[in-house]
Amino acid sequence: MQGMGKTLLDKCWDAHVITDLGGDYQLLHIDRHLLHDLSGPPSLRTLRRRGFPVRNPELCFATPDHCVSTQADRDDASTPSGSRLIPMLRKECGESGIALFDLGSAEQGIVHVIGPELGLTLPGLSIVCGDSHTCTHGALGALAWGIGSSELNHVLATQTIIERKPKQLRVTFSGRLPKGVHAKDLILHLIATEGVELGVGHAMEYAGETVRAMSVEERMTLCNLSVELGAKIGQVAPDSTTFEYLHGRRYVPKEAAWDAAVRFWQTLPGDASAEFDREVSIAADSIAPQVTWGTSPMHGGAVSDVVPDPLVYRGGADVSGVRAALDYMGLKPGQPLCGLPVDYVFVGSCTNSRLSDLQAAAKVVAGRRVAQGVVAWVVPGSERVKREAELLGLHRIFLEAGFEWREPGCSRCVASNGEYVPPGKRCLSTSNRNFVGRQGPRARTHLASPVTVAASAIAGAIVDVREWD
Amino acid sequence: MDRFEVLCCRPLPLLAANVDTDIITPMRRLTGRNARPLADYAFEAWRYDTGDADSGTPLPDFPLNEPAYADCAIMLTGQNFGCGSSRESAPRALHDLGFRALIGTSFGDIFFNNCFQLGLLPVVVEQSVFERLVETTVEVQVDLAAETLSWGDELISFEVNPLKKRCLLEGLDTIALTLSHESEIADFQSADRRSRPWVYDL
Repeated sequence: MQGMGKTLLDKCWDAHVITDLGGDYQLLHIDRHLLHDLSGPPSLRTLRRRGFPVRNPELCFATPDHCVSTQADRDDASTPSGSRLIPMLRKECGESGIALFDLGSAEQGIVHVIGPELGLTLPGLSIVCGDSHTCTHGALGALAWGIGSSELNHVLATQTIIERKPKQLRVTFSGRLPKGVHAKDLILHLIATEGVELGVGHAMEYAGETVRAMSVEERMTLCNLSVELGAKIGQVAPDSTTFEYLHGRRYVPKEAAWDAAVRFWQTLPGDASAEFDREVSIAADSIAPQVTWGTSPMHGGAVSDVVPDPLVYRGGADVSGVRAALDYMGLKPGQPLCGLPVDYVFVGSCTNSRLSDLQAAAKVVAGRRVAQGVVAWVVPGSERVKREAELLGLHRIFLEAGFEWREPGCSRCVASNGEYVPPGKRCLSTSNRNFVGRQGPRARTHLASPVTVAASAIAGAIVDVREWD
Repeated sequence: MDRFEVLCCRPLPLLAANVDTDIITPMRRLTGRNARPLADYAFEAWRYDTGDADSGTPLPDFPLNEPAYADCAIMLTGQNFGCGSSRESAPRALHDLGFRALIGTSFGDIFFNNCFQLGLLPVVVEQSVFERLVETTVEVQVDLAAETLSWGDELISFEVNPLKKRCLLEGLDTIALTLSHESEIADFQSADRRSRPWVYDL
């Protein structure tokens, strides 16, 4: 399908092929393997019991995030899952010689937040992790995707993976984001308009002037939701913004090695003559703040819209599915999304827990109070984000408004640490999935940007931040 | 891993679109101590009247609860089945329930790979073929060696990667296969270390 030129993905992919395995599968080298407390410990133990050593422990890095409590003064035993899995992660990493950014260390955090933060994520690197949101790392031009536990075992034992090259889809965003509209809104809009199957079998590349103008953190939000489009991989071509973000970080090459690396990274963006299997164009300047109303990330739209009629939504393509979603969410067709009361708000997750997310949320919260009866949490993505936010005094803004200011972890995005939203309660969340039961049995999740979530916490109901003074 | 055999049964229809792996195996059943085997919790939000396998009663019209499908090894799955989380518990639970093949028009990419690892064959078919499969009331045969689906007068070919096929048919472990390429892996790393030293010099 590709013409003479190579895409960013072609260049990243071809640099990792060790050998062809027949058919369309190839053996690829893995440059970084990131592990967390949920999928890491059982795989490391399985591998050890099967008698396979970890082939390149120096290329593996681990941190606990899924099962950690986010309450103050936490330890391993603060959650039932953590009490079992965190000591196991520590023991297995110790025996295998894998670097661990442990609970209580200055580096701990959500694996997709700390990878870029530490400079473990670099342009052109192949990165895997037993977590579907590994696509986040593509924001720096890495080739990164989520894998299951058998593949995880395979990578530990061989430092390789068996994969086939995906088809390629470029989304080009043009124009400037309007006031009150953020990277999260952009990607939620794409999912709502194109559907959750758009990227199945494809790798995404996000391009265009809107993306070029984005910070690396905004690009991470964009790439993070690639898997919600069905794509395992989402990338942004590295540029001077990427290099400025990386310079000086802990695991980034230094001095002459830095210069050599940058020269290499500058060759990675796709050639002008490269062709994609599919192309989509989006005008960013006409997008509204987004919020979801159903149980799939595609069940959403402008915050100023009403809940759709299942018979009308997408031409009635999924009437029973949309009816079930509205029933689960406790919503009726025609109901406005603005003004819908919320019980919980959650600012956090690998989608939106970085410093710029917290700064944007704090800006709308400053000097105001969370509405009575709303449980509002801010969960920074990492210890470093937490420290930097506290240096800026953001924690005081949130605490004075009535938010809880918590410790880093995945928390209420996936509730694998027991931090559930109770049954029937409505939660406006900066996370990535509104699936049935995702935040806890019968929990009702609406996805939105940190700014929409923060403003809605103050109002006690979903608000359109464009009308927020 | 078991060797993959020829399958023949009336396929169980689970036709909802975009079934995510959180619905197949809810997170709380992956982190806590369960009273029952994992397979009992599969689809629990849809399968039991309370949405909870521990407290609920099976809903009689949910396909997994229908006695007619008790020994079923083939599932017909709606589009984009297995989207979302990379959790391998999802195909594992389906395997534990006795399924060995899933037939649908598309699958979540991570889920698709995970299925092969567990001896579960995901078969991608055209929409028109899928619609005929949904309508049929007779047994369907899945023959991986021949790469065919057959039922009534129908005989449909499907494609599967030769390596994945061999692993399923022979019950092979891919780690052992890949370790047979060890010298190529070592050669790759030593050449790559010269061209991209920052990957290795940490």
